[in-house]
Amino acid sequence: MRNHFKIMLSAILLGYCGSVAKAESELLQRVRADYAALSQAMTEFDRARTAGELGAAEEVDFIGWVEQLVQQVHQGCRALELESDEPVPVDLPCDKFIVGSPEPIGIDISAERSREENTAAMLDQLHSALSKFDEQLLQEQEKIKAQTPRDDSAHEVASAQESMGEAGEAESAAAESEQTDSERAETDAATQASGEEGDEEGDEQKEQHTASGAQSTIGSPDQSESRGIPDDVPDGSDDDVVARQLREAAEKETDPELKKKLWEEYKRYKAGTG
Amino acid sequence: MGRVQTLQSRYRVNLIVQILRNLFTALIVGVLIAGCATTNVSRSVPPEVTLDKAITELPEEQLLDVWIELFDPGELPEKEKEALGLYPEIRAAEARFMPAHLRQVMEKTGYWGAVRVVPRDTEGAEVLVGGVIKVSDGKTLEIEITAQDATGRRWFKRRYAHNINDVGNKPKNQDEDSFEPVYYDIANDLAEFRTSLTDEELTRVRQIAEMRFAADMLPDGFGDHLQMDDQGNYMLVRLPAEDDPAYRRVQIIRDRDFQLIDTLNGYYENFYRDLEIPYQEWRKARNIEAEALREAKRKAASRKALGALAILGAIAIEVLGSSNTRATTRTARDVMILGGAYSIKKGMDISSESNIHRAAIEELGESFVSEARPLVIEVEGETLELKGSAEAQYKQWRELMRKIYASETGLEPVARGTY
Repeated sequence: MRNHFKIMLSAILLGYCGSVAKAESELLQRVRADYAALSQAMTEFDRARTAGELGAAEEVDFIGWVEQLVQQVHQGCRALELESDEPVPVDLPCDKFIVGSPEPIGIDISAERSREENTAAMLDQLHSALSKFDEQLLQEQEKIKAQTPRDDSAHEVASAQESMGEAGEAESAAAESEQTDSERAETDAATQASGEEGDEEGDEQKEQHTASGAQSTIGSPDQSESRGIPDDVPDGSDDDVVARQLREAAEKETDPELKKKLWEEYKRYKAGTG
Repeated sequence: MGRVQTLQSRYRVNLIVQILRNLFTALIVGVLIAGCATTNVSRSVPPEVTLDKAITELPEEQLLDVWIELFDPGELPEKEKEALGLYPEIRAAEARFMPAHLRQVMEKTGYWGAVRVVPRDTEGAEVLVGGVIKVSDGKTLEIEITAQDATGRRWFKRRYAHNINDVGNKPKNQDEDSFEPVYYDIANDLAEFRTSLTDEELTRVRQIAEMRFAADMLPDGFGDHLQMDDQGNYMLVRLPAEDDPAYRRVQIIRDRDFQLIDTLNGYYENFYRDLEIPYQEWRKARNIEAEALREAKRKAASRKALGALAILGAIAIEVLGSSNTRATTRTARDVMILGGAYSIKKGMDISSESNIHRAAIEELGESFVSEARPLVIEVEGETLELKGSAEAQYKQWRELMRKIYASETGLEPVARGTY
């Protein structure tokens, strides 16, 4: 009876140990399989990239697959370390996968990306930062505009027009630069970012074009009689650069209120310099 | 014997007259010195200065952008009576107001590209103008101006002073800033120096400003495009290719930098507009009160001196005069003593009137401070916040530009701070 009990106990213990060993073995096998797949994937990736066989989309897929395998090996190694007191077999370089971060030492994924990929990602980041900055400046300008009284002198109206012009020019230059051939050759992401920026620029340019379009119609020689020069305005023969600019702006302005203010500013300026 | 007495008597009268004459001369000289001592200025800007304007429109490539730094507020006068009614808060407001006014004056000349006010120590100017307020009390304005361009070339360092109480210095136009000649003179000197530069030099200034920005933004790519000589002047080694993508990106960022400066100027313009009227009024009122104070002091001093002189004269006749003289001048001496006493009392009354002017000057200063302080705090807060935020952005962009450049060229990034 006592012998039977011993035999049963031994069997249970053996069974338990066996099941633990089996589970550990399965985990080990899985990690080995993952590691083998990772090594194979990396070898194949290097070969295909060197041979120029990879398209952009395929390359991204490949990198994703390698990253997934690295994660699996890392998790497997971590589980092995936790569940077993035995050292990890030497053919499995778990120490490289566990120490520090989950990223394997010696396998830098970003380095494995193509240079163009990296550049594109960073350009995307730069464009996005520039867009955010533009938004911030726009908000600040709105704030400033809100602080400026509406009935301010025509001088400020003229200044505002001038700065709008400058901003437009700057944006146009930026847009031109953004849309050159070599920039266009950059990645889809960068192009998208540029596009977004371009849309904003486009909107601003539209506003500017609307204003200048109106000016060109009024400023045409056929309609010079309808310039609406007030009687008390001097003939302008002795105008300096600033006075001439003010006069031209006043002559070309279509908004009667703004036109009046510009003429007042012109007269004030002439009185001050005369 | 009688003749001798007569001679002695004449001699004494002559002596008294001589003493009185000397005292009077000393008094006049004293009053004149007191009056003139406060009007002395080392270098005076003449009132007839007119603003020099470009006769023809200058080509765009010859227009230099000017950045005027917020002025250094300088020190208030050490003497208590000179610092009366002046406060650091007023100087802080003036340090922002004056560059904004100079900007407006310079914009009228047609000699410059964009003229902007910038916080101090802002990098990237083609021409950088700085100023220190030496004296500003409503009556006298004295500023030290320095100007240099992007190559490091010092244009000049000069002091400009103007006293509106000097003869002929009152502004003819009521709307005009009382110290307009100072601003005109500064603008004229800047224009004169600019005109002395050749087209090639002007172009070089612009190129170096651009390359300094590029080198700051991307030292790995553009740090070696410039060289600095042992005198701290920048020299252009080479220019990047027009189609260099890194250079184009730098230009895009520089456009943002200009827009940032424009936005900051929006705040400074609002500040200028809000402060203009209270500031002009304060200066005008302070000057009127200060002038009244000086006048009262002068009057009080001269009344007291004349009174003392009359009493002294009467005493002198009493002491030194013969019995005949004493007898004949009795009434006159009484009048001199009474008149002298009255004059001294009048002088003391006027002195107390001075206190009223003194109090008025202080009150004017305090009142203006209460108007200016919130405006200064507001503009300082807004501009600092914006500039601080932009600087954080620039730091991020520099890092990105550096990485992009390394990625594009395959070159190892140079350690930061090598340029």
